Amino acid sequence: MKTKLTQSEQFKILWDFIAQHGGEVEARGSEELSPDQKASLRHLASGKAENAARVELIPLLRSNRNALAYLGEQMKALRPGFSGKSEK
Amino acid sequence: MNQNDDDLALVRRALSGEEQAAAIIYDLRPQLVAHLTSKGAPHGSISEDAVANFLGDCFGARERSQRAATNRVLEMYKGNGPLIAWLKKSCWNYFLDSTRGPKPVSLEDSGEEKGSAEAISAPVAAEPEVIAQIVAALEYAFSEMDPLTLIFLRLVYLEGVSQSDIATVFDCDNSTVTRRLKQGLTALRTNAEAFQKRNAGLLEIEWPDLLAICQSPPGFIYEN
Repeated sequence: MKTKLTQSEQFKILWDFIAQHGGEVEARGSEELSPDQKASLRHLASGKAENAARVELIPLLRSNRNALAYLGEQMKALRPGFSGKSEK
Repeated sequence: MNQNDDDLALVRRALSGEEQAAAIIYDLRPQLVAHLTSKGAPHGSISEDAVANFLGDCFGARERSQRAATNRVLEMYKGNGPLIAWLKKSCWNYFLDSTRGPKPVSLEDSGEEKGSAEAISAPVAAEPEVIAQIVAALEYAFSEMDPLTLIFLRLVYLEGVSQSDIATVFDCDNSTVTRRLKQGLTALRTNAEAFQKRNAGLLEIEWPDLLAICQSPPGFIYEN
């Protein structure tokens, strides 16, 4: 995409704009996460989840911004990429 | 002699002082105002004044600055494309320049109204209907996006997660994550543009303009 803005900047601009103007996009829900959901997200963030567990969590990550934020927070804390597993 | 040659001849006659030729160019004013508003400029006096000032500068109404080669903007038209396309592009640049301060305006005679994807750094005030249109286009674009790609985009760009961590958690290569991020943004743009094309009656807002409008600060107030 030929632009002076970085991909990150472009995405943030668009996302913030939609949020500011009340656009109906996914991940607008902000329900509190249950302890089970948090445990599942922590497991996913560890990088040890099986594919079935990942697939099961995708709808939650799509619909609940708290879930995605929690996953992000856990991933930054656990840094699963440092294990070298991703270097395929 | 093609249309561009005719346009260039018209411009030369106008610049040489032929009133009839200049009047033909001034008569394009409504088209230029409509062009500005179609791209998100406010209706009313702001756009009308911008076009009036631009046309004035076309004929040298403004004092020449030290770095300008000429004080008659119209002299920069070289007949490489339709005059109306050049005027629209130049007038839009002029309007943007007036909103963002004293930055030099690019008035290259590109020959056509290019769909330059260079993002505009300055906020642009937009009419409510333009905002509504952009919201609708972006809603559609986001809804069409692959769910996992949108999750990747949000994790990386909103939550600050590294791409290698995403690759590990979602059991894929780093290159897959990078590719999904890039394709995701491309898809957003493509889908937003497709939405506008499919809905007859909507203004077609080019991507750089859409980004510029989205950058506008909340509660921006403009005069009408």
